[in-house]
Amino acid sequence: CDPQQSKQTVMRLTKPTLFTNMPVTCEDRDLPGDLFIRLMKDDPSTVKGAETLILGEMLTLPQNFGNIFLGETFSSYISVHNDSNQVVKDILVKADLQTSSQRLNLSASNSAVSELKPECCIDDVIHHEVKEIGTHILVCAVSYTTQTGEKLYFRKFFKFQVLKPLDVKTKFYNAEVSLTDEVFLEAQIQNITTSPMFMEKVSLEPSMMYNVTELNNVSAGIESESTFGRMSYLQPLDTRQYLYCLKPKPEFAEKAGVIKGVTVIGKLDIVWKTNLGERGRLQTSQLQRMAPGYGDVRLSLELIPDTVSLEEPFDITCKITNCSERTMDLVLEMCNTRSVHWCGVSGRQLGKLSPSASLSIPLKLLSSVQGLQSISGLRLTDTFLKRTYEYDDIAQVCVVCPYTSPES
Amino acid sequence: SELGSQEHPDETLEASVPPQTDPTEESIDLDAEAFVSPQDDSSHSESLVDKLNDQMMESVMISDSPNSEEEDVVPIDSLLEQNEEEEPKTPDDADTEERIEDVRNKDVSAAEPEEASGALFKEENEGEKIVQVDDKRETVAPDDPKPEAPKTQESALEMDSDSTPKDEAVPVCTIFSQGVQLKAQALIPDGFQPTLVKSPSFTIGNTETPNKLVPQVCQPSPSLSKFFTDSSAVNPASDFFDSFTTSTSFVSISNPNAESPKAAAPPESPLVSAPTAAGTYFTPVATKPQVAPAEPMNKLQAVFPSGDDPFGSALVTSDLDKRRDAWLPSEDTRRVLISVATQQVSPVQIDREQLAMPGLKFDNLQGDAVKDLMQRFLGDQAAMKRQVLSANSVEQNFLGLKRLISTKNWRAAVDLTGRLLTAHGQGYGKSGQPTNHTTDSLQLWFVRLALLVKLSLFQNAELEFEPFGNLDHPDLYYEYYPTVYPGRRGSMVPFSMRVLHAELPQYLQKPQETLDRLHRIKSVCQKILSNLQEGLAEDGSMMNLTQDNRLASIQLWRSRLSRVMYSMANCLLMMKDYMLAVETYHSIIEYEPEQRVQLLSGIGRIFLQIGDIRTAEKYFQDVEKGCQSKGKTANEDTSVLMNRAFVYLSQNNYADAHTCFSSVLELDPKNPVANNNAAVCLLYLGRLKESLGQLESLVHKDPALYLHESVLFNLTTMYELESSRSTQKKQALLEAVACREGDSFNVQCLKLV
Repeated sequence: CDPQQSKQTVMRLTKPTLFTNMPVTCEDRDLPGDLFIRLMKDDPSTVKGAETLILGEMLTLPQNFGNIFLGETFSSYISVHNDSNQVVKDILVKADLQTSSQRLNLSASNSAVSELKPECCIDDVIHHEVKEIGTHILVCAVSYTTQTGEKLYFRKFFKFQVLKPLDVKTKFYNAEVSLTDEVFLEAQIQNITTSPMFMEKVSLEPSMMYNVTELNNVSAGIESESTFGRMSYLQPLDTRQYLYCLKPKPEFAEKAGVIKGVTVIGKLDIVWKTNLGERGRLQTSQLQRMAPGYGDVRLSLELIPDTVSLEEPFDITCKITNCSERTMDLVLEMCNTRSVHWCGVSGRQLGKLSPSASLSIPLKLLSSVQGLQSISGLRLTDTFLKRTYEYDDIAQVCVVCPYTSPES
Repeated sequence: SELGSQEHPDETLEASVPPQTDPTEESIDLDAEAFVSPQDDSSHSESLVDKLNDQMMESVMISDSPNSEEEDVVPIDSLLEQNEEEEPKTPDDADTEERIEDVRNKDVSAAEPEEASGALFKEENEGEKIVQVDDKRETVAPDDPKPEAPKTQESALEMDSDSTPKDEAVPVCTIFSQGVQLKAQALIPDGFQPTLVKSPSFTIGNTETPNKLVPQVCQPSPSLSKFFTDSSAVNPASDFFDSFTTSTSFVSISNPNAESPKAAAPPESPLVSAPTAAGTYFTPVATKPQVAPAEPMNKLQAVFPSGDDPFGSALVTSDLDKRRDAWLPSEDTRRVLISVATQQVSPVQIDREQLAMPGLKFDNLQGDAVKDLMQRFLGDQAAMKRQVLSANSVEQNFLGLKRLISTKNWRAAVDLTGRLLTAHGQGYGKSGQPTNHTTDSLQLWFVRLALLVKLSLFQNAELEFEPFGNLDHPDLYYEYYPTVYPGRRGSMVPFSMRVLHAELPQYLQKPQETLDRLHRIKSVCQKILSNLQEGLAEDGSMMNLTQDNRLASIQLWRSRLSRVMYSMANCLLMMKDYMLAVETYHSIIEYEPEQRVQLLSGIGRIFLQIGDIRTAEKYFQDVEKGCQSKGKTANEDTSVLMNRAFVYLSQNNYADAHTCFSSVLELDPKNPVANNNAAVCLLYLGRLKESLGQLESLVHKDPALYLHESVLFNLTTMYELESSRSTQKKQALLEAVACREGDSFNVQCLKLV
């Protein structure tokens, strides 16, 4: 008597694939005549009427385990088949998934099937969204009772690796004119799988302090077009840059002016699809941003032109905020750089500034060099503590020569 | 931050994951599990029987490589074996299973020490990782990042806190693992932060297990073509010599002029003697039949009665030939052809470097994989019953060749082309020796190479294509043989052979070469079309064409252009350059308006393959509109239903996909695609037996349609899933195949070996 009465098999159900065929054609007057085209027309896997199109409609089952990536759904067919010629009873099939940190039960039902006739099977399709990277082991256990009342139990283990599908890098930029305290987030998302990926959704879920504007569409009339063009898929190892603008909500805006340290910006939510709609979803951890260190005194710009003429004075307005806990007595110095020349008196007294207070000062300067120039060279000295704060690279202006323009 | 990340995902997760995987339930289950399962175990602790069972059981994981599968499964099984051997020694209490689980976990983690041990707390840190601000006030001093980067995150943070306000701007890279480190290091200057990605619904802190030692295994996404690629070996060289050393004779197959060189041309005229293949490099002695194999010779000569053969005795240049053979040679080739035509130079004097000198590169492919399998699995007696046509069993001529092709005995057909080419003086070992070409010899080469490609013997095809260069040698043009083909112009190389030649490199991982060749063909087609439209002949000469002729020629060349564009689109699709592939397929509609529905549906399927369901639906809607304008309701059209089914499938809605495929069957009960696809849907619905029954009955009812490798592959896969008797069932399929299919049948889809 064969002790092995029921048999269990497991097959991973990735999406089926479309059969591709290989067209070899000839013309009527070639030696094979219509033979080649007739063979192709008779082939059930070709597209009728367009036999030269390689992508057919015939579905084929997955042939190998393939790769599985974090955020995708692991699906598997579990079949327990009675190979004996006797009825077995009280069959209980259990499928568990063991990860490095936990063990999950994936079976649809945990109740035993009362009997299984010969040549019959118990089928179960399990699904699990994988949430961990690394080794996973699918543990399938079957217990049953033979006709002689013997209780049998066996288990099988299927090990697979879950890989990381995406590489995400982020970078924050602060708006130059910091009246609004806008923050820009650039996210670089790289497909590190081996197949193309359709990015269905890449959105930033802002934290409660911010409103977000996605800057990944260019609106042309009514329809807005993606900055990535018509094809919104990522080839293996391709990287794409997404840009978001974050504005503090009004109730936080004023506070943000003096906010220090780490703030939570939000998290990226990414949904992608691959072959025939195989879906994956991931979120980043909370993105945190170190608010720019304003130190004791914050110098921001309220007004600055984007383009100025060469060697022509222009105006900017600076806002100086006392971010410290004490009153300051400030002196403003203006140091020329290679390109930037300040107009007016350097070393002027700005007077006393109490904590959290701010004042605006208009300044005049000119640039002697064309191109994109950094505005640098402002120095604030607190005469109480004899401490000097340096402000370089505050903003950039584009310096153009007015004489070369066609109008003049 | 981890808490925060748990808040949102729940609602979204529900959509995609069945409720039992809800994170909170999981953790509860996990605890319960550890205590519940021991009871199971103790109630069945007939450990001896257990052990026996576990050994007998064969873990069938459908995996791409059987070896790696064993590596994966066996160690754990054996680990477990050890554990379970301990089982009887331990008291039969409730702790047993728990303990075993622990041991096993340890074992598992021991197998991946880096992953399990170091990872866990590293991860905790990463959870609280700071994404550093780059406020672009300061550039990084060159010394700073380098010592910092290789350090762990802690040191990076320390530096951060120590730094003066001025230093705050230094971008600090937080690093997950050694694996990422190298990359991160390189990225420091641009200030980008690697960002932790995790499943939105994940509860436990360690998502980011560093898999530094686990390289991204490039397991190709499932593709049948890969799976079935045949790399069957060429017969050893010794075989060639055994069978072909004697036949060095030259026999022209069908060209009467070439057949009797002595009669046609007095030996003192070099111009005429050239086509006899003697050339300057053959001494007349060498060309004469030395050991004429009498029987094949007779057969071969009887083969081409001039009346039957459309290619022979084509002395009268018909309009049909003219437009078919038209081609634009390269400048060098054109010069040679002009000088031959004006008798400035005789072909004898032409540098052999410029000639195409093909020869067989391997001997017969004989062999019938189906029969071999029968011998192995069903015994010699059953194998004896397998009767297929061989090169010997048919007429040694084009008719016999056609018979072999139509009965799908392509290997035998390749053998026969070899014999016929040998008779033509282009047999084994003749490569590199001057020869003369005829319409027939090139047609034979085309058929031979086409069949090699059909048999996926790409390397062999490449080898034999090689002497033809880029199919532009002067001796491949009719003008080169003014006495044999007086007045005939154009290329002897069939257009289909050019396409084949262009398509071949893509199957050998050189798709760029394929595109280059296709573009060359395309530009010739376009030039010829523009010549025709300007009132010139195909080759640009001032020749009067009748209006009918011109229109017919334009039609022919437009269809050739569209064939080339199909090849381009197919190649781009294989290269996964979807953007260009879609554009190219779309542009074919202009040339083949009657294929609009198929092309638009095909483009839609490309988008489904990428995962872009929305765009796919747009194309499918275009198909539906087209059908409605034709007066058909959408439901009456099989392609519309088929497209809908694919969309459902892509939405994981296998039930509705199955309904759609079934409604195709109501309109067209014999539709093999719908039948097969409906069965595949049933499997995904957990209805293996039904699915299997359906496919099986189809194969039995209509083997002509269903003994196809895709269907058989599905069927055998399900056999493997269904029962341990799959081998017997596969053997039954083998018998069915043996009755119907020729020697070109790809037995790999039976998965017997």
